[in-house]
Amino acid sequence: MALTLANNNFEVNIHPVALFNIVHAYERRSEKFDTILGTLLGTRAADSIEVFDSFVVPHSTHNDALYNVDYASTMASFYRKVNSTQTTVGWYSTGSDMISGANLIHEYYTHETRNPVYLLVDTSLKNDSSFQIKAYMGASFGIKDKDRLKSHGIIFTPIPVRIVTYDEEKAATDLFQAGKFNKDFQVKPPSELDQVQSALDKLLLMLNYLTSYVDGIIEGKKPSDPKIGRMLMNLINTVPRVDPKDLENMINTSMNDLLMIQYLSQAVKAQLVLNEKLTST
Amino acid sequence: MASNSAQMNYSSKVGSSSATSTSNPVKEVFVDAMVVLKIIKHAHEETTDNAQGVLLGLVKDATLEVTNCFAFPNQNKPENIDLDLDQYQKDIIRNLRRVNSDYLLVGFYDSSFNPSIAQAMVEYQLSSVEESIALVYDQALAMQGYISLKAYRLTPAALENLKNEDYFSPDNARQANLNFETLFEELPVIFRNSHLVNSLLCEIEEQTRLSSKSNNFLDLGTSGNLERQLRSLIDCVDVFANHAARYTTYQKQLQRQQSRRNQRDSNRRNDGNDEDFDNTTKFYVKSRREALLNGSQINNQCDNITQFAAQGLAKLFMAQAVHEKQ
Repeated sequence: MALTLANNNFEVNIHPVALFNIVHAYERRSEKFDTILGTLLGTRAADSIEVFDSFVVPHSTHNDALYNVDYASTMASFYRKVNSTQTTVGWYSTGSDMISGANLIHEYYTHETRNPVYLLVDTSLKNDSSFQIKAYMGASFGIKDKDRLKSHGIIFTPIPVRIVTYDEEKAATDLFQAGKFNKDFQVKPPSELDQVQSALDKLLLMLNYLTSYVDGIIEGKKPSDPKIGRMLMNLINTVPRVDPKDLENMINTSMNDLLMIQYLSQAVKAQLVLNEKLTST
Repeated sequence: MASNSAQMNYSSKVGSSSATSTSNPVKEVFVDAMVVLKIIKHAHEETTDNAQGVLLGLVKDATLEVTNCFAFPNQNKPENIDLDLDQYQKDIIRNLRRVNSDYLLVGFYDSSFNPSIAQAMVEYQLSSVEESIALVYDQALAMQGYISLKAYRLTPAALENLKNEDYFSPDNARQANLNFETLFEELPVIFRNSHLVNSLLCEIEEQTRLSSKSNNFLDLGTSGNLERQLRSLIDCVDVFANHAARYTTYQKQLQRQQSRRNQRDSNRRNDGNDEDFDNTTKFYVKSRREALLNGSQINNQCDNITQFAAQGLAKLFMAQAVHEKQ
């Protein structure tokens, strides 16, 4: 089984929600624990697992890690009620290394789902102070005697992890990035015109970068790369060539539409206020 | 939606009633990044109906912090029809309590603004946490890259009047000086994250930098969204016209009765006769509450449309400026 796993290009795609959930639970753990464990929820495809959500499961550390199986199954059933397509796909633990009872817990999860993935999220920021997210697939190995009493171990092979987002999630996480540099770590959702401006700024930045790159090549400072040149050609060709008069027309009609709609909504509001005055006197 | 709001009438028996005084009301709402992402995820996956769920958190000084949330399963799905929402909520909160999450219900979230949230708000604000809020998240706008999250709360005057489920006559409304503008108040929403979450954000930024499609936002094709908003505005205005017409008939009837009474009094003086006019039909006046809620919904939608149109105009002006340079 270990061989077949090594041949597959198995991947784990995680949504940020799951990671945020993990950090949230980690921050709230009780003092006697250093690490927390929990279940991962998501969907499974042929060669990848997409992790959409996660929740923490209480455990106790005596000599073995006692995992609260009832809690895990009830919470999983609750999540399934909300979204029935997402099931248990694996489990996670925090810390810089795998926990000691990992094989037992992994066995439990192999009963729940076929090939559970074990996600290790390093919240202690030990390894070169970055947030390391690693995933492993387990394969049992060892000498099995006929009673299966001898404990056989599980070998964990690492598999690549990618973070994927919906469009709205990307927009939200971009919004939160600004909060890192604020002194109170706060960020307000921007007003509508601010958003237009920030989108424009980003576009301008990218355009500046491109033009400076092209200038550098023309002056011979940078080596030219035909692949990038072709991509730039594609980019410029996608700008639609419209007759300026038509463009003017299009822009004017759209502007008229929007102005009309604004006027209408103001009229509706005025009527509302009027009605209020009439009915309250 | 009616079924959903009807199911939301429970008082939160979980969570101690904190001695929150209305003299120090909450002025801001701090929302954790995780809550926003969870709401986004739920709204994204709930394709048929609105995404609804409960917010958990705590009240601290003058701010309300929302630190966790969970979603309600969609009741219109056949397998969920006989789901007891009360029990579901209690179970989840009990489980969350075991892992040290906050368990105070501080409000709920919804992915559209409809007046039934006012009724649900009453229940929440009457329960232990007085500063409960309703978070409204617009999902269609978010697809274009504009995250719109607004927090609403019933004003104290509105709370007083909506508390009694009875008849909400026009006189009551006049007395309370309640019009559609004073029904809800909007609170500023601020996103605040802890340090560990910020470091996670750094990691996420590194990994997802190349997959940014945030340029959807500068798309000039705003007609789809605008059409949707206008359509719902039209529906609301229809209901509004209905209410207004009913109110005018009520006023006419009132006048008629008044004039009949005057006539009866003058008749009585003339004839000494006591005609039985007191059993004039009690005409049915619809409670003003719905008209009020409808008014506030229209108000909200008009504001949204104005905002959206302003954005569109800005983009158009920009496009014009860019093309003029050529």
